[in-house]
Amino acid sequence: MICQICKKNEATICMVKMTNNKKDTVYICPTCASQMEDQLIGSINQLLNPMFETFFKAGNTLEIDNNQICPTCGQTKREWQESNTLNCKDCAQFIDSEVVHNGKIPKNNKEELYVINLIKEKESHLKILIAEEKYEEAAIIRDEIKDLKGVSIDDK
Amino acid sequence: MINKLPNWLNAKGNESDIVISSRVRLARNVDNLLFPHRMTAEDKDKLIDSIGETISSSSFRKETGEMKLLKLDELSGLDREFLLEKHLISLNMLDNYHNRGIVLGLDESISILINEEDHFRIQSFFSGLNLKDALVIADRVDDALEKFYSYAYHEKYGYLTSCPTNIGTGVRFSVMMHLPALSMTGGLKDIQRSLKSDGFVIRGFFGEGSEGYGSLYQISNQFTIGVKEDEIMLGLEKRINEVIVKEKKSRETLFKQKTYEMQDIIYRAYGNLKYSVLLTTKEGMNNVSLIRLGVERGLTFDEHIDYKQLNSLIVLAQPAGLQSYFGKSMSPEERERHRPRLFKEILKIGG
Ligand SMILES: [Zn+2]
Ligand SMILES: [Zn+2]
Repeated sequence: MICQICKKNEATICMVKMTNNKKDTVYICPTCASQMEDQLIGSINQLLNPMFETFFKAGNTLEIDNNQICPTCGQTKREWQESNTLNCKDCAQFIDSEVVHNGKIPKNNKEELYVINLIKEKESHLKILIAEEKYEEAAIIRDEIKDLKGVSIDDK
Repeated sequence: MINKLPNWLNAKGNESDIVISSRVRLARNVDNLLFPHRMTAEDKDKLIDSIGETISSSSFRKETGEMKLLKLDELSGLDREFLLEKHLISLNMLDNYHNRGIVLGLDESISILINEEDHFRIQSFFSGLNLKDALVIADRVDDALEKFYSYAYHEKYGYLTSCPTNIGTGVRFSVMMHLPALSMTGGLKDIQRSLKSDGFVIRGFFGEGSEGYGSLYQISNQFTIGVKEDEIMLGLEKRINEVIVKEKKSRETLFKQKTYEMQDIIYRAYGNLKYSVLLTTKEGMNNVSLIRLGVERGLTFDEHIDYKQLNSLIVLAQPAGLQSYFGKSMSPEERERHRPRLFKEILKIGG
């Protein structure tokens, strides 16, 4: 998305303005964001861009909303809903899937941590299942843990 | 001209009477680059050049063997079309070939597409039903690439791809099958339905809307996340084996109930190839399909015909394949006139 202030650069930051419970968003580029920040902390006294004015009215709270825009490629959440396409790896923040990857892991990735956490999670789940005497389910979880341990050992 | 025929046509694998080939494709992206549709032409060329260096390094070659890089911009239109007919590049890539490339192994059974929908698409082909070996080879190339590029990978969603339908494993298995009896008896409808409910799809081999063309079909997995690669593979293999059993049963019934009708249409197909003066790809492939069925049922022809000859026509009967066979470029009218000779020469019809 193009920056709504300079209308030139790619926007990668989403600012949210709250005025009396009314939410307003603006997508801006890093250059405009830093100018806005300068203005905000008072290092620049004259108003650089009339667009800024609406943001500095009394009673507004300003914050950056990282969920609304991909910080790397500038795709907004709304654009994502239309395109259903990842423009870069960070667009993954928009993916809304209950299903989690369970397959090959790049060897040079710091994935070990993830597997270790997953094993911990499953082990605590296993304890609960055994306490509740759900042995069939427990057996499945136990096998999954065994599989996961296999993965993390292979990786070493 | 890149006029070699790919190994996956050699009919040497398992179930080669019904399964033509098996393919595995892995979709991968580099994590510090925008995905191809958002890259500048310059960045795309940089990635192609970097791949060129990668494949010439000895540590890469040690894992994958000799590979060569072709830049699609530098090929003739005919060569690009031939790559499409050999199923090495996609239609999308043929139409938008700028700043794209393909890395080919020596026998073309392994390849890497550069800057298609994703930065890398690793493809591995085997003849017959052999997804397992195809996966092993694709994995090997993936492991080798991974040492040179850091992949876009998400701890929850796995390998990231530009289209969300490929995230997770990024793996697509597909099996090309010859299913004449099921298409004649209408049995494909049921198969399509039950495959779909299990997350698999069946399509005409020559792309969307080509259902029935030469009775060649492609069956592949639809979902790529949540299940391990080899589990997806085993699931598909199981379904393929069921389809093979059904096709064989349909063939038996068909030949038992309509012995003379079947012999009649098969020998007419042979006669058609023998005596036609003009021949389209579609007509030629439909005749080849019937002859293939006859060969499997033990019918004899003037000269012995084997699956390898029949398979080679899948590629050679198409426009670029035909021109490559005769070694010259031809207008559509010339191609129609030359096609009967191609079929007769390959199948040794009429001496
Ligand atoms: Zn700006
Ligand atoms: Zn992005």
